[in-house]
Amino acid sequence: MKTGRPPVEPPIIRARVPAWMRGRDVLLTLGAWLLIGYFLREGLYLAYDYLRAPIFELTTARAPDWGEIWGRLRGFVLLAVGLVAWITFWAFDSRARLQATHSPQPAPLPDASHGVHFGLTDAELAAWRLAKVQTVDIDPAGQVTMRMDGRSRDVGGRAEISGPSLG
Amino acid sequence: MWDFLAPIVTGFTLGYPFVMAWYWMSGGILHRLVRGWNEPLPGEPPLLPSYPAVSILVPCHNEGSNIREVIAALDAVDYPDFEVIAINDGSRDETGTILDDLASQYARLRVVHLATNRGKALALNAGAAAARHEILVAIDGDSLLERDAVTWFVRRFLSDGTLGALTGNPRIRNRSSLLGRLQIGEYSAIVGLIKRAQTLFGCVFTVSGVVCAFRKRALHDGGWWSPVTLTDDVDMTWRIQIAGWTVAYEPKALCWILMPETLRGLWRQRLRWSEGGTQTVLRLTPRLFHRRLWRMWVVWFNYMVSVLWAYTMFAGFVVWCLRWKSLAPLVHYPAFSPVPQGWGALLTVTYLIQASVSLVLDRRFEQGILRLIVWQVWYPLFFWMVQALTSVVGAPRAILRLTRPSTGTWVSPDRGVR
Repeated sequence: MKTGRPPVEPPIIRARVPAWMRGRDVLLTLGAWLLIGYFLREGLYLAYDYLRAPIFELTTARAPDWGEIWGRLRGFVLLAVGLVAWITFWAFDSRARLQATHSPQPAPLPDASHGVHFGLTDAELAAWRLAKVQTVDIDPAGQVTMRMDGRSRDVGGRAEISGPSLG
Repeated sequence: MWDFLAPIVTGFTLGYPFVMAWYWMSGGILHRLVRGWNEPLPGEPPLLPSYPAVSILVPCHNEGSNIREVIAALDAVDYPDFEVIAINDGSRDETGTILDDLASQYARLRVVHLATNRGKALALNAGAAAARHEILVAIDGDSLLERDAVTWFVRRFLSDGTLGALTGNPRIRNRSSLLGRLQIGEYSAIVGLIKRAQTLFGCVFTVSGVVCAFRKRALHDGGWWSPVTLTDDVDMTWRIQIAGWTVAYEPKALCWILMPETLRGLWRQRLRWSEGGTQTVLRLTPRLFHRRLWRMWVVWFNYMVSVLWAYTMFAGFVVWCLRWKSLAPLVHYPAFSPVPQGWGALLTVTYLIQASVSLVLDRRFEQGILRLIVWQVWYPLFFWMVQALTSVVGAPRAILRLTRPSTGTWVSPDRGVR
């Protein structure tokens, strides 16, 4: 591929929305964080107390009943650990496939097989693939017929498609 | 009996997202370690041993306001040999005229007009038949393919001859509103992590229809795109895997997409996804009875469990609302508050860890993405309920659709604030 190319800027759209809308989004989101902070306040204070000097000691906060918490969570934690072990096994198992750089390639689909599915002969399919602009009918069953109208033109820009008449 | 069932329902409803969050996170991290550790950056693809020709399919329906930009982005794709086939599926706006005009400007562009509107699946079939090359890349008519995406797709196909399809990495363009910014995190934390984990496992639930690539042979073995499904991408992914091909995620194949930024648009989109997903899974279940397809059963099972979870979650929320109205004694079912207390707080923290992990993994693809963690707080508070509700509504509609098959049609989506 080409080297020394300039980087491409992501085509992100940031439309100018009304100030009230931006303010609403910010306030609501701030409120949501405060709500979560409120419900997690005991845990957050516990962590703060544990990490401040003297570090790794609880000074004012009371330690929760870890046994009770573990009793409640044990089943879910063990299930999660089991699933992590499961996906780790598959990651290990698939690493050769995922890290491969080349592999024998399957043969391409023959045009004849492709054309049959859509009710087209080889010649019709070949003609279709020459067209630059074309109009086609495709019925709900997937059968295709080509219309020779004013829009259709082939890769050379002529007015009509060369090749067999379709449909 | 209810005394026995209530703790099971509570444990399942609260435990399922907790357990799966750690599973998806592990899958994402392991994918990075196994597949991505020594990988070049997305903007620096290595030289390939060969550059097989590629056809890029762009099905369009009423894309008059987007198509010029889409075709210009495709013309800038850095790949030696490719053609672009735009399929105008009976648009009622000026899409057809614009495409005819663009065909004179761009040598690589070819245009197929469908005489009548037939839906995305048949439009893709028509485009594939017109395509000259074995490898097909498909994007939506409002999406901008990144310059090197085709190279990354081809590199992956060359590395594994069993791959029948690849799913790319859709990145959200429109982020003017809270909903837009929220979905960026969702695409990383939910979609990206799940696809990474499923790639490691060897079975993917769906390619992203907005940016994906196929071998024609795999599409043929899968029976081509079906017009009777709402979500052609899920359907095609399953049928390709049933036919014996593998499907994988290529996160470096980037494509910039537009997403809804209104609640109505979001609801319609997610309901279609949910309904289409369930429809496909149910429709193809009879074809899964083969020992070779055991991996698909695992993905099938997880999907069904996620639908069941949506029902148990929604029922708990309804009970919580009734309790609020002092009707609790009438209902013997656990109540699930949308306010994150206790277990809810634990789930919220778990999700925020999941979002952080995914954004760290995805910062290679987008600078400054870590800042978006601020907005992700809404996902567990609001988005989970929307997702659950779409599953609750979508599942019966999908079952109904199985008994009354109809063809998929185009829906003009909400494309955000521009």
